[in-house]
Amino acid sequence: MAVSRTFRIFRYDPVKDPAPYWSLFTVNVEQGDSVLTGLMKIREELDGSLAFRASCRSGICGSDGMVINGRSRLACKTQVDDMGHGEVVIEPLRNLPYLKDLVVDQTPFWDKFESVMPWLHESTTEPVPETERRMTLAEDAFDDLSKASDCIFCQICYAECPVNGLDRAFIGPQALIKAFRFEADPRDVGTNERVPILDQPDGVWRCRTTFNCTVSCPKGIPITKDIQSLKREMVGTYFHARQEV
Amino acid sequence: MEILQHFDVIVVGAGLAGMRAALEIDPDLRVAVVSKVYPVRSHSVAAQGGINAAIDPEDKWQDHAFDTIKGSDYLADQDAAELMCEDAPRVVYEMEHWGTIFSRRPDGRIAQRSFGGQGYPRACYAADKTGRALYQTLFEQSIRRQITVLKEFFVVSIATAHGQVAGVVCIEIRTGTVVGLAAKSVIIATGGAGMMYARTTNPYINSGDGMAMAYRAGVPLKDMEFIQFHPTTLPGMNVLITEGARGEGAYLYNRDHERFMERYAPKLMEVAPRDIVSRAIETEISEGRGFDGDYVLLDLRHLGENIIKHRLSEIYDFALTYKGINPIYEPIPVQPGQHYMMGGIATDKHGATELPGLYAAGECAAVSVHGANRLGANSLLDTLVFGRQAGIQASQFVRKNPGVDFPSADLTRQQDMISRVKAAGRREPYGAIRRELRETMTQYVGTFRDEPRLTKALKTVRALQDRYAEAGIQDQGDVFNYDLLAYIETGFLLDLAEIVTVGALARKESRGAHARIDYPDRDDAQFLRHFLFTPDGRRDEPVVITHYQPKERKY
Ligand SMILES: Cc1cc2nc3c(=O)[nH]c(=O)nc-3n(C[C@H](O)[C@H](O)[C@H](O)COP(=O)(O)OP(=O)(O)OC[C@H]3O[C@@H](n4cnc5c(N)ncnc54)[C@H](O)[C@@H]3O)c2cc1C
Ligand code: SF4
Ligand code: FES
Repeated sequence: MAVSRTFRIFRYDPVKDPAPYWSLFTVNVEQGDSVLTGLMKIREELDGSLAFRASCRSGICGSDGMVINGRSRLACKTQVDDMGHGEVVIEPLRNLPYLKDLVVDQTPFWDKFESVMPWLHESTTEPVPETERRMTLAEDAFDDLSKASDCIFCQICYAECPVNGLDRAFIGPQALIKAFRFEADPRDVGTNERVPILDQPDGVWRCRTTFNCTVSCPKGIPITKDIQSLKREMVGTYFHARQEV
Repeated sequence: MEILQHFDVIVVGAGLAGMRAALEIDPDLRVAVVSKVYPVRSHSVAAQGGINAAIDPEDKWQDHAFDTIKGSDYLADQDAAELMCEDAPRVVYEMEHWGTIFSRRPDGRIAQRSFGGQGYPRACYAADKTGRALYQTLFEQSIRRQITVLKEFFVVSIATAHGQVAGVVCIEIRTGTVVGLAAKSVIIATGGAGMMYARTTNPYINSGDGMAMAYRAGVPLKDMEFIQFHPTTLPGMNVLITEGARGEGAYLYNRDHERFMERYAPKLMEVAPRDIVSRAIETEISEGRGFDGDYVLLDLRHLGENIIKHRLSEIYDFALTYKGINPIYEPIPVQPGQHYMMGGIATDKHGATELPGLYAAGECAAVSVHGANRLGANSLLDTLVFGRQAGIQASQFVRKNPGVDFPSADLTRQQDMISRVKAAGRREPYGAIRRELRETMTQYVGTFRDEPRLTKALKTVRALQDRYAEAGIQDQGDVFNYDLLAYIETGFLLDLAEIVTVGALARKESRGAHARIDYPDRDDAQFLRHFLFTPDGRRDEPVVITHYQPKERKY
């Protein structure tokens, strides 16, 4: 059964608006409809100029992170029914500059992600495998690695992190989770190159373990825990280096 | 204002096929990948179940090729299918080497699971997030190699001059600027066209842009009447529930609690090929053995919590999020939905199209390795095998050909189009046209087809095309004008819907995913051939047969 719901949406067009403002739209939504379905209806039926990004509709492409009723979430993974009975209030993600309506400038996020050299550094002695290369990891270790690789680049952790809000230089939870993904991979030998990037005041050490990222990550990645593992690794590397001197 | 930039090779599309192509191009050539969304939003990341490769010592690539050809209902070009299956183990090892986290067996070898229509469990997988695992690897390699990606650039047309490709015209989404990208060679890797259907597993962005652009540039589209409907999608949003669930052993039940696949594929049961399972489900529903709301049940419970949470973690999450159903304790409601386009831009087995300099790979191309029905876990393989082929060929083409001047009139033409649709305003909203198109295709050009329904569909599609010519948009701005993009995509979809329907009408037989109620049998004498469509009409080509003579297809 369709019910009519009101969406209050943050609007801004850099070409014509001196300042952001709110638009109110009322649309019919079916039971189980996602917030994204509502937004699409608004764009197709009421206001074609409403700008937001979306693709997969099912929480796997990371396009549609936005602030819905005060918290950063994926619009496609959030049901309108779960947003109470009042208005559904939608704003762009925080900690990233807004460009138009719900569309933010993602550049800082991607730059930080790329800074951790996010690719598998394979050992140079490893021949290009023409047959199968085996990988044995304890079940727990494999689960940790697999979970850390689930990131869909939605930027929600980045937007929810209070440290990112205060310190623009902080590398942010997502770049750290990516670094962890490679550090936890037994095939990777990039530690020596990554440590100088991570072992910085604005690297792992700026994390204040607020857990906002862990709580809000739509993929359920234990981000804070993995960042703590990286910190332990930094300390380990330090003592290890001293012993070798 | 329009601007022009120059490259050697332009790759349109940053999914698996486009990225793999870009990685193969000589590093000293000027190459750019163009994508209408950030690369990681490409639909390849959504692939769940697996990628086929005969890597087990007991398995043979020849068997994989046979299964693929039989699965295609003998419409696949056999030389291309052989090339793909022989290359498959190399592809999997290469991806593993670059960093893909595959699920493993206890002894550390890459794990494999059963998939529909395969005589051997040969789908390598990363839980039920294989696409994400593979895609992240290629994306990471593209960063390592510093490949230029023009993000959020929407390609509108392919430019040609003197019978050769000259580049592409695109809109920079952030500014609305019309940009010409001149190139000696262009590779199209724009993925599928599921948005033609109301019930689809595809994302909003799969609107067949590359296929339609190629067609408009006079390049033939092949096998377009063959549309894959995936048997198991969640009713409503049609989010996919991977075939890997059945590969792990899940059962399908109707309302009378029968494992009805017994009647349709007694040997393979739930892991029969998709066309067969989809038709079985539709039949159960239409004969009154489905549930209210047009679905049957997929039961995972006997697999146990461990397998569900580890190997099927994404669909566990989907069922919970979208249906409030915990598959450990309750069966999942499922219904067929559009999933994949077997057809696409006609290429040879190295990705070359008829237009010199233009290549195509991935779901937008028809090599054709999938023929009338693609087997699960063969598409990811297709993107990586033929993406690489296209990259190799484009590099060679650029070395041998100086290129042609970019037709700057193409830029003005796009600019004029934009002004026209803005001026038209919302008298006739394209949104309504798109909705009607999607309903029409779902109702009349679905799993079961016949002459009256197809004729009705064709009439409707043509009427919608007329309305589209008058339609316009509301957003008058330049910055992130998604109204304009959706308008253009709707035009692409209308072109393709017409071709799909015309092809389906002309193919008076049943083969693979194309099931005509009025012509229930396969007719090799008349139709063991590909239909190729250009704006000038239809042309037929024989199917390449190497080792496998067409036989009756039974499972
Ligand atoms: C839910 C789901 C699950 C699947 N699971 C499996 C599986 O387990 N195994 C398997 O083998 N196959 C699977 N498939 C099929 C497979 O994932 C796809 O066929 C394949 O990933 C397509 O890859 P691609 O590179 O051709 O295109 P895509 O990944 O779709 O990429 C298309 C690219 O083109 C770009 N693009 C499109 N139009 C334009 C334009 N106008 N301008 C600029 N850029 C443009 C997009 O931005 C995007 O980057 C699945 C499909 C779906 C829908
Ligand atoms: S770690 Fe989680 S919240 Fe952060 S970008 Fe990745 S998926 Fe999003
Ligand atoms: S649209 Fe892909 S995550 Fe929401």
